[in-house]
Amino acid sequence: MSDTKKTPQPPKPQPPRPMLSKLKTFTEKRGLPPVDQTPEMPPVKPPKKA
Amino acid sequence: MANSSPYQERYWKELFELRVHVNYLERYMEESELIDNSINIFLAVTSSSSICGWAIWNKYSFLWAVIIAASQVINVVKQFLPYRTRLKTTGGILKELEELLNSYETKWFDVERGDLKEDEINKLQFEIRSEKTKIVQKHLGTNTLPEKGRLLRKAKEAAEIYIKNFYGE
Repeated sequence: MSDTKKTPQPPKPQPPRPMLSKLKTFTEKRGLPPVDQTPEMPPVKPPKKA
Repeated sequence: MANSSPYQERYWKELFELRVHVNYLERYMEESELIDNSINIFLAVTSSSSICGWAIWNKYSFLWAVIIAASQVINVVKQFLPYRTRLKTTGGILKELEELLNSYETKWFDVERGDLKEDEINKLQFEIRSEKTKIVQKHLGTNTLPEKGRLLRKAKEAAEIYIKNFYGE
């Protein structure tokens, strides 16, 4: 018997399967989606002081 | 912008998001209507006795059998399809969000001219958000509105054109 017997490694976490992630998306997103990258705001005057 | 405040920036973003959502719901409604109408037209055609009697179906009997089978399946599952419900839901949300957008876009003038204080701008921004949540919850209820990236992209493009036309240099 050799002493070089390897200890079993824990399984690497697998990325979510496409179908499952699709289903998750379908059930989770039920309202209006967020919007990214707003166009630049036009020039404005500073607000009144409090 | 050197003189702008983060509150004005946030108000601008909130307003832009609202504009995109109005455009998005318009497109969502159009798509749901198209699918719903297509299903109804398909079912009407396949149940028409005069079309069933066309001589051409003697030649393509297998194709006709497939069409009839499909129409029967659709007839059974139709009540569970979401398109009609989505049509009503998106229509209801859209009408109220358009009113909200018009009302708060008018207030952008005061925000832009610096006529409001920061806390007033902040209050207005959260009024938009809170009203929007109420409207969506009221009409959506327990239904879902799965995200459609293609429609969102088109909605954003339309909103950018609007901004360029009315708020650009």
